[in-house]
Formats: sequence, C-alpha cells, structure tokens
Amino acid sequence: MGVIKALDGNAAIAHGVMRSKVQLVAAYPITPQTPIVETIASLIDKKEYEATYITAESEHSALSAIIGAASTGVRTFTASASHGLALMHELTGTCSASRLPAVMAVVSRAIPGPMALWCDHSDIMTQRDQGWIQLFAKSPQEALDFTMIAYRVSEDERVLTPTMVDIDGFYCSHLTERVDVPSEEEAEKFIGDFKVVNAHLDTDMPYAMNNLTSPGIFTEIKRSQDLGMRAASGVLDERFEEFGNVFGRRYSRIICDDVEDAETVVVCMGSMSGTAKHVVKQLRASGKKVGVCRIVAFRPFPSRELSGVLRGVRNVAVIDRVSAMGSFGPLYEEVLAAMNYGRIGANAYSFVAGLGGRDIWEQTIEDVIAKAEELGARGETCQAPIWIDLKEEKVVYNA
Amino acid sequence: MQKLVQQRLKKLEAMPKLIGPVSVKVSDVPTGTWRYRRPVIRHGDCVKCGICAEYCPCGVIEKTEGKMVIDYTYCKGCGICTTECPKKAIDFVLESECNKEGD
Repeated sequence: MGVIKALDGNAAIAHGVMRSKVQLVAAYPITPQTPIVETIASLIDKKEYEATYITAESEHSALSAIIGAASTGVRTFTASASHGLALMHELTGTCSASRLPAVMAVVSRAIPGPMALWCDHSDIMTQRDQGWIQLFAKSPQEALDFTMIAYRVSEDERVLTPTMVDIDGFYCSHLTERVDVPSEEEAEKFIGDFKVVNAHLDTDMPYAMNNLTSPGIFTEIKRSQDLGMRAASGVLDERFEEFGNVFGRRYSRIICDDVEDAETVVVCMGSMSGTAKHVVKQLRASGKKVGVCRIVAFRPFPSRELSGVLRGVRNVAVIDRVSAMGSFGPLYEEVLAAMNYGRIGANAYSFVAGLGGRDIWEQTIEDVIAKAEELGARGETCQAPIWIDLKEEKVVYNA
Repeated sequence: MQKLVQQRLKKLEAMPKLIGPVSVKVSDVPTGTWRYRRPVIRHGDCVKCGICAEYCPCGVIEKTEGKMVIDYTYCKGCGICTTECPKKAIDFVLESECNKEGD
C-alpha cells in the first residue's frame, strides 16, 4: 500500500521521480519549480533515494547533462519554467531528435515580458513543436502519476520521445493536497528498470549523435520522429490503462465531464479545469446543458477523440492561458483542426484568460460560457480571441 | 582510420535498431563544396611529420601509403594546416585557380 502524504505539486513530482527510479537528475532552480529540485536533493541527502544529482550552472547545461547521461543509457530527469525553459529551447530539439527518453517537469510561469513570476502557459507553448510529449496535470496527485507514466511512455521502443509533465505554477506547484505516494514495491509493479532500446554511447564504439544532417535525409529523420510521437497516442492509452489497473487511478488523454447531450462545451487545460468542472456541475444543476473537456495530452494532440466528443455540440468555448498576439491561441487552433478532422460544424470561440497569474474564478468560466452561448445564438463567427477577464479601463490604445 | 570506420560501421549494422541521427563518421554532408581555397601539399617538401593532421579540425588529413593525403570531399578549406605546417609545404590555392588547371 502507498502512503498518504500532504504534498504540494512540486513535492509530488519529486516523489514521482524517486518512485520512477530515476538515476540522474540535473537541474537549475527557478521559481516556481525550485522546490522540485530542492526536494529531490533533500531526499538524496537523507538517503531515502539514491541517484546522481548534478547542480548545473544554467538550464542550458542542465539539459545538456541530461542529454549526455541519457545517451549513455540511464533514466534522467530535469525540471524548469519560464526563462529557464527558454534557455533550454535549443536542447529540447536536440534531445527529442536524438530520440532520448528523458522526462522534464515544467512548472508553467509566464514568459517575459513583462517580467512575471506567476502562471500562464506561454512558457510551455514555446516548446509545443519541439518534439516532446506534453502532459498537463491539474493536481499534485496527477503530477506524481503522470511523471511515472511519462517514463513508461517515453522509453517505449515505439515512441522514444521525451516527455514534459506540466503543472501550473503556484496553482498546482504550491497547492498542498492529499497525495497517495506509492510504496517502492507498489511502484515496482508499474515502473520496472530502464532498458536501453536505442543507440547509446559506448567507449568501445564511439560515434556521433545529432551530427550534421544534409537536406538529403533531414526530412526523413523528422518524419520518423513524428511517427514516434504519433505512436505515443496508443502507448499513452495502454499505460493509462495499466496504471489504472495497478493503482486504481484512471486517466485518459482527454477527460470529459457532462459532455453527453451538452449544447456548450468548454475546452481547457491545467488547473483551471477543476474550476470549469465545478461551474459546469452547478450550471447542470440549474438545467443548463453544458460540459467541460480537459486536454491532458496536448502533444500528441487527441484530435480524433476530441472530435468524437464535440459531435452534436452547438458551441465550443476554448480557453487558452496564453495570448497569441495577432492570431488565435494554440489550443483553439488545435480544437479547430480536430473539428475539421471530424467535419464538425459547431461554433467555436477563442477565449484568453488567466495570463501572468490572473486567477480564473467561477465567474470567469461563467462569463466564457455565457459569451459563447450569446455569440452562438446570434450565429456569429469568431473573428478574434475574446479577452474575457480583461480590465478594459486599463488598456492603452494607440493614438 | 578507414579500417576503424569500416569496423565500427559493421558493428553498428549488427545492432538491432538505431533511431535518430547517429554516425561513426560525419559523411552525410559533402562539406568540401563549401571550400573556396584548397590546401595543396608539395610532397617534395613534406617531411610527413603529421602536424597538419593533428591540427585539422575536421580530421580529413591522413597518412596513407607513405604520404599525407587530404580528403577534398570533406575539407572545408579553413587553411589551418597551411599555417601550422612547420615546413610551409602546403599551398593555399584558390579553387578558381585549381579549376582553371582542370584539377
């Protein structure tokens, strides 16, 4: 049996790393991720957990160390956020193209500017096409569970693609909740040892990884990588199922509530999903046909599954926790692509909310639903994202 | 060197599966096409000390059959060997000049 502990999202991830028997951790602290690496360092110091810990001089070095270590065939972990993740940008592509199954926790914090410490998804969205699987957890328990699942998926020989486990800065990272931490024996039933299934560096046979690649083969390498990422959809389903059988906690790539017969469905990710679920339950009680669909796996995106859910829905309200200046939010664009995939003709509206740590209240979700219904009733198209929690009087308009 | 590369390639082929950009010799891109000046060894003056090969950043100079040989498929023409040669036995010739001579 596992032990019930009061842990915040950061500590939960640290325990997930320990239970995943990660052999090497290299990281550099940054708010709001710092407690993850502090907790890991402390667990190692207290001899509760045996691993190599490298204090890197920057995030660029941290991910470089991870790539080097993963190339020699060990299970690795790093974590970052915002500025730190931006500094890693060059290496995230190197890691995924080299097909190294590393796992990174991203504790989402707004990317500058303006300079902020608080949550939005602008940091992880810079990484969306870097070839990493992206899982969005909404609670400390999920953060721990997804970390363990991430290793099994990334290391699968059909996938060989690294994973980012994203939690929302402060909302999840510093929120203390009841977390069921699996015992070592229990975790062992799921996690197993790291087996190298692809190339790894060997002093007896030195070779170059990620060497200069000509236009003659670059496309094929990228396509192979894309196939690995696409295969992750099925492998995620398998591992979610297996995880549920072992631990009793069931997940899937999209998690829906009250979507059957719903006229308006909210699509969102991360910590705001809890609020959205609560609001939807209340509106249902008052007879409104609303539902919520949370995207757990943003990469690979569950287009088929989402289009199945949205069939028959009248209005789709997509909330992006990121501003896409001059265009639409990344989640909205994915939802539109999924709707096109399933030939779904519902009204789809793009909402921007919760930037730079602005709280998403029940009222915010209610406003989103009301606005989508209002526009839908008038049959209006979505011409631009709707900044739903904007303080209009503070906006500066150019002369 | 060639033998070693062959050995490693064989070993690499024997491995069950390799995915991603991996190589024992960076041979996919013929970087010699980037060259606009070419190092040309005057074999009469060369003492085969091998310093050019030591300094070559691309590892394309080898001692083969008693003389130093530059692999022009991959030599980018940086000219380091021409500077480092203690006997000044390597000329640095414009590619346009080489082409004129039908080289």
